[in-house]
Amino acid sequence: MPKLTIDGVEIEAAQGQSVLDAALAHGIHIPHLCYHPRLKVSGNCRMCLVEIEKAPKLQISCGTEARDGMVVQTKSEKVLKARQSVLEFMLINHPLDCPTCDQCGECKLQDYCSEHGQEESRYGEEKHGFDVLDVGPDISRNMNRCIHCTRCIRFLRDVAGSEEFTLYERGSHTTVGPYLEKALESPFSGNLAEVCPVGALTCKHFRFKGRSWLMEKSRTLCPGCARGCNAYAWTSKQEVLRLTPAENDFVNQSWLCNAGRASIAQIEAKNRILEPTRATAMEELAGVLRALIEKDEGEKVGVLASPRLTNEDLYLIRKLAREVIGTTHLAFVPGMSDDRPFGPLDTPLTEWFIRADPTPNSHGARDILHSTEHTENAFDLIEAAEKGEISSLLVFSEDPVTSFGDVDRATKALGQLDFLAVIDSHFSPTAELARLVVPEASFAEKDGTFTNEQGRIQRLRAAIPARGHSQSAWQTVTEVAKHLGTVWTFNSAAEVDREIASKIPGYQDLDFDTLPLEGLALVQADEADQAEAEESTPDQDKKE
Amino acid sequence: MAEKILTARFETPDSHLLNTYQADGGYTALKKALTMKPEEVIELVKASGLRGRGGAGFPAGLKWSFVPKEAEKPKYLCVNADEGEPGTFKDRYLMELDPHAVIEGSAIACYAFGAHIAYIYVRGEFKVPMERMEQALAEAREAGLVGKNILDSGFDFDMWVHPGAGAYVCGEETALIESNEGHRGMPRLKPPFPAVVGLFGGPTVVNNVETLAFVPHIMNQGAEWFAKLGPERNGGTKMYGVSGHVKKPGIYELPMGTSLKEIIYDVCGGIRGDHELKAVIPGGSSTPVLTPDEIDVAMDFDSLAKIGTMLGSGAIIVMDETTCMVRAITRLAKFYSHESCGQCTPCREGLAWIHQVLVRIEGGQGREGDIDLLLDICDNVQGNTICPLGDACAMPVRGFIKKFRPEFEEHIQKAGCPIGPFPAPWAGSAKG
Ligand SMILES: Cc1cc2nc3c(=O)[nH]c(=O)nc-3n(C[C@H](O)[C@H](O)[C@H](O)COP(=O)(O)O)c2cc1C
Ligand code: SF4
Ligand code: SF4
Ligand code: SF4
Ligand code: FES
Repeated sequence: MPKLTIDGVEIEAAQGQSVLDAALAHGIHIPHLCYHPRLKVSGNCRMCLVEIEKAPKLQISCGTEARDGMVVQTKSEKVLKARQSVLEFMLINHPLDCPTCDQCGECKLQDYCSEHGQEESRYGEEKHGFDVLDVGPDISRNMNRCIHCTRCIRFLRDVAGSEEFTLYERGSHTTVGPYLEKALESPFSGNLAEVCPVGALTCKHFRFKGRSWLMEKSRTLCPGCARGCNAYAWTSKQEVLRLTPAENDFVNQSWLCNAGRASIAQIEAKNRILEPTRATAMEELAGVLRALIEKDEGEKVGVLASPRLTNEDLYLIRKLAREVIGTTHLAFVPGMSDDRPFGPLDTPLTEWFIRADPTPNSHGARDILHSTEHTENAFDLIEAAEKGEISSLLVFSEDPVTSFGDVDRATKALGQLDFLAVIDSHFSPTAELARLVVPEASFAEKDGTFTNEQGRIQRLRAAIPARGHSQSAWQTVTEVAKHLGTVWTFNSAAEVDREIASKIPGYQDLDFDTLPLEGLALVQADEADQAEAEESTPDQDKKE
Repeated sequence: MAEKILTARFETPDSHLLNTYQADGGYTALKKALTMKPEEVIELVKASGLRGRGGAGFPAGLKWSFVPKEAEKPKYLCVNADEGEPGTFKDRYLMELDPHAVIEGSAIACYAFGAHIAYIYVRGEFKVPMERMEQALAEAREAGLVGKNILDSGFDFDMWVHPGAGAYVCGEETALIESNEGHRGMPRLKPPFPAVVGLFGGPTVVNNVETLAFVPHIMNQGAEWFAKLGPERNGGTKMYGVSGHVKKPGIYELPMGTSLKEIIYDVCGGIRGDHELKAVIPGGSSTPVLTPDEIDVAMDFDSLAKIGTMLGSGAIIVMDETTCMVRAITRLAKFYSHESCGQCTPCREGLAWIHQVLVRIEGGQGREGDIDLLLDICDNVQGNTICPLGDACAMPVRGFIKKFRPEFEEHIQKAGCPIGPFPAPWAGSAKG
């Protein structure tokens, strides 16, 4: 491992690491703009210039490999002058319209100017005025603010897998953008808002909605597919204004897809269910169930649960079905399987990122519901309704009328039931048929866990209070159980998890409160055996 | 006049045709090289001291020896025929009048460092040179001099013309490679150097046309002969391209180290009319300007470096006293700021700024402090960019100010150009 000295401090770099990476890893900040840890090095901004002993000129630290014996100065007079001049050059054509810029507060240029900039501009010539160009539905481009770092080009070309941006013209006329107006179509274009270090590319949906320092952010998950991308939900006045990526090397690196970002629209959607059909809905629901249970006909109740629900929701739904109602007709709609590798890979995002399964918790649903003695799929459940094997159905966040594939047949089958209750966050054709509808919290309003396609348990966090009278399914189910005379003591998702850990194979290490940021890989059955075996014969070598 | 090597056939009718070339001993050098070991060819070129004629004067044999012997990807030779530096107009004549020498030199170079494909990247505007190269390649291919198993030696060598994409920066070796690959012509970061990772990721040598055209002569007449044509470490002859206010501008092949004074006054017949010499740019527009008292200098790499300028491409631009120095450098700054590829901050922004300030000074709107501002911008550009194009602007700007500062000051004090009004086409900002 190369040892080098940076500003008098000796540090050890990883083999092949750049001087910049090595410095950052050791808490030495070298200003940088075009460098992005997940993009190829372009070395064009010249912000990260440092002085290296024996080199005739200043060198870019992002593009210089750390070598043994290197002596690096990041704050010498020469370096500071170069850095200040790079900033000065960048500001020549920059409007400095921070007060009206959406990047304000999250802008690297702004930060560096306040740290390293000059008080007064020496530039007494005319600034550029670029025309506004509509680049596409999600991203707004302001060329006047561009610092030509080409991060956007590199992201689209090397990461997203769509060569949609390029440089035009030369010299100070150089602009950055798509080949045609409105042509930016990448399903990952939303990332450009974060990839761009300044306010040249910003999110259209977030325009003028909020200031970063006036918002709160909570780390949560995107509910959009089985990847389970880590995200920050940014809120202000109890409203979620945007989702931005949270880093997770095992899951989504630094990215989100556009559809995932757009999932916040669900929260305030017009068809959101906020109130139950009637104030007495829960009692009525319990009443129907009680009558059947008393007649010893619990088996005539069908329960359909969605992989959109959290593990905690699903676990208590299962508990209600098995232990309180006493039915084996417990079903879920299995997610679509995806034979592409899960990644993260170095290949374009288009090849692996967005999963075929559009639900966030199929794995969890399989783990929790399949571990009961009998679980059906939704198809069996419709058939059971047709055959009269079930007379009542509780539907949790599903829409079998649509998802079954044959609307008429499903509608007819559900029409034969004596009782249909839907517990959901949004109205659906199935909900239209239901006798009772109970509101469910949206993903942004609930705590819990999802298990992604790869078997990684990750934490969903409530970013805002639940709208209306909605709540998490596990709370609804706990209430129903209580009406039926079974009192559970679950007051939080964390408490439900304690029971999951003891009951569901693979979930034994789950602890809601200490769940690591990067999530927790499920304990595989054979791994569990192995762990036991290893414990009995400790392997000294492995502990090093 | 001294011995002519590269331009010896220039006056021969049909000099560009294969049979003319072969009648004059053409392709015997290639034949000879193919009987030698590749390392021996490299050693010979090293011993000749042949230095690159593209501008930097890097020893050609040494450059070839940097190419790794074993490589996973194919190796390439890129012949740099972009010839974009203002004042430079030598390579075009080599291609027009002696294209087979370029092909033969390229074939020998490829054999020496183990490439089988050469691309000649010809400046897009060079229609005739391109046609001549194409024609010569077709002839050579027909004659078994280019293609599979050339001259029955078992060595494959192919060569293709790549039309340039119209930017000066594409003459910079890594930008040339990018452009040759079909990308926007923008310089790459170094390292990795082209000799290790170049065209299509393979080890690549980039050589100037003139450099390669010397190679057959070195094969035929030996390293020592070549070295002795010029001063120590500056062997051979040089094609000097003289333009500007001399009586007989043109291309002159002279021994390396011929005095600049001799070139201007003897070879080119002196300054036009009864005008006086005011300034000379010795090696293409990026090389710092010289004043009349400095022209007693040997025109070779080392002697010019000693007096703070460069031989560059050997393009001598002569200016008499009718030339406004501020206007001249403004025009050059316009060129460089326009040709900046725009990727790195100091060059993209700094060059345009330099040009804007110069336009103001020449236009009579100079301000107190402008000259120091210019020098400081140059300081901030120079050495801080990806490729030398930024330096190529900063160096002459500094040079003009250093040598002619009073003229800049006069512009500012008198709020105008003492020589005359600024002709319209040169005015306007770099952004216009
Ligand atoms: C901006 C710029 C433009 C250049 N243009 C040319 C050119 O037109 N022709 C050329 O041979 N070399 C040009 N060069 C030099 C090349 O980068 C390279 O050094 C040269 O082709 C190497 O050939 P040589 O070793 O035979 O001289 C240019 C360099 C720079 C920085
Ligand atoms: S738009 Fe943003 S990311 Fe793209 S080059 Fe400009 S500053 Fe960089
Ligand atoms: S890939 Fe899936 S989880 Fe990730 S942002 Fe898109 S929809 Fe959300
Ligand atoms: S110095 Fe100028 S031409 Fe060279 S890479 Fe930078 S911007 Fe491009
Ligand atoms: S961060 Fe190194 S050059 Fe931009």
